[in-house]
Amino acid sequence: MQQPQESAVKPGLTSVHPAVAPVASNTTTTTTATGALGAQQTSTTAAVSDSQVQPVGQGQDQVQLTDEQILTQMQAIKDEEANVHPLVGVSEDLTELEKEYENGSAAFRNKIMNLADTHDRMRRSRGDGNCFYRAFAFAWFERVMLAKSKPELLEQALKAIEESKDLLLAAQFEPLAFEDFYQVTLETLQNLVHFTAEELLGTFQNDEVSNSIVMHFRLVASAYLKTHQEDYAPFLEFGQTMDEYCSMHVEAMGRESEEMMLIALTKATHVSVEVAYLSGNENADEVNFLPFLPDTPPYMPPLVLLYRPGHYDILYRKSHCLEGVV
Amino acid sequence: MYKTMGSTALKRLMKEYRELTLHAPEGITAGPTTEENFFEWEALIEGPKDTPYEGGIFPATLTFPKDYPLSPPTMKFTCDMFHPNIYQDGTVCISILHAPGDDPNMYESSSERWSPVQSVEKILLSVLSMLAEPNDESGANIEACKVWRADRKHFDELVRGTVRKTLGL
Repeated sequence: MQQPQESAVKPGLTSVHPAVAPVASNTTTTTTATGALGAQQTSTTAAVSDSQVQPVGQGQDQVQLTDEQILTQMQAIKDEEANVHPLVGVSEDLTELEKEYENGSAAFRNKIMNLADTHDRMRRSRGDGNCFYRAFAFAWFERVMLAKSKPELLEQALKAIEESKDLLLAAQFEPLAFEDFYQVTLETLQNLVHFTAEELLGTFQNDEVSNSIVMHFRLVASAYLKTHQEDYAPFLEFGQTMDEYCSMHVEAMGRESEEMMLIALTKATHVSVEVAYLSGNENADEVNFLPFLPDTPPYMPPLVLLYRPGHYDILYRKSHCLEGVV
Repeated sequence: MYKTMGSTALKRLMKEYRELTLHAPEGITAGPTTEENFFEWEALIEGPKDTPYEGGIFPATLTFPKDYPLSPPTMKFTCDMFHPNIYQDGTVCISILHAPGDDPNMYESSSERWSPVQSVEKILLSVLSMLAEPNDESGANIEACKVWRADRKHFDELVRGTVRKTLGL
């Protein structure tokens, strides 16, 4: 595997960007309400100590929170996080990335300078463990939306999403489990022709729609791996089955992606991706580009993602049409 | 196009409810407590045969988050329950109710976890098999764990006591 292991700062946390201290609430977005009082609620409460709920003590007389209170707290944390980092941000000039490393190592600064020769904008995806799937979906759908003069991009995308349903069925997923996410993804794609760039961004910033699309692509990646076990099972840990791997790492929200998911998704959707790997390697001044290619000939230039250990964002290549990007 | 929070959850819960009414698995009944609120369910679980829970009918509530099925519901028995994987307040603690990465009880890596491919039906079936086969590796009620490990006969007696209680005997 070419790509380094994701070195998340904390378990379940995708680091946001090195120059910015991770937001404490990031760690709690993946801990769902457990119902019973445990260590998690203690940290949850600590993260929202401004709210009216009393902090949970360590002693005997712990405050018993009702499920509803816990859910309200979880929502408060998510809302707070949303204000700081939208699920998908507006596009930014690449100089914003340079600024993050102003006081950082020369290895990063040199690479960004070189990257800026061929790329001029970036777009952040929230570091919630879903950043790869969300960045992939947004970059793809935005490409289709902007290419009004090339209706074949929309046709190919619609075909790929419709085919994904057959893949999900072939992987033995029950329709109940995937049809709502599939429907939202398909409808979003069908509506792209009527969307303004702002509306597309708004759609991907809306929890309900954005997460449904993320979930669809998670299930598609899982279905691809399950239906191509002979190729990918050798990469699993000893004794682990592909079903176990997918249920632990692919099918649940907030689980970080590994190289295998990138391969699966590009092959399942016939969309090629190039990952610009921004590492702290001091022996190189160039960003390394890792290509992920589908089995079919590419019908459009690759989506470009920026990868920093533990996190994916979107990059815009100068040679690609950028007109209308917001 | 923007959806209001919870509309995906509501759609899914209505489908699951319809499915459960049409093809309820044996020993399980479940549905919304009131027609007005699909995010609070009531379930009745029959104690599995050949276990000390046999003959009992155990009521429980299921509380769903607004982003269900991305996040799991919580489940709580509303009657007295003596079981290694049920907290004293009735809260059920099994792996299927926790997403991977959320690990309050150090579940085995191969144990079934929450993701949107799970469902209310799968949760309730897991709870049924949990009643038949407690997992003392990830205990929620330490006292029940101890008795279950040390003195199975006494454990069975204590359970049968709670069963009689739920039946109002």
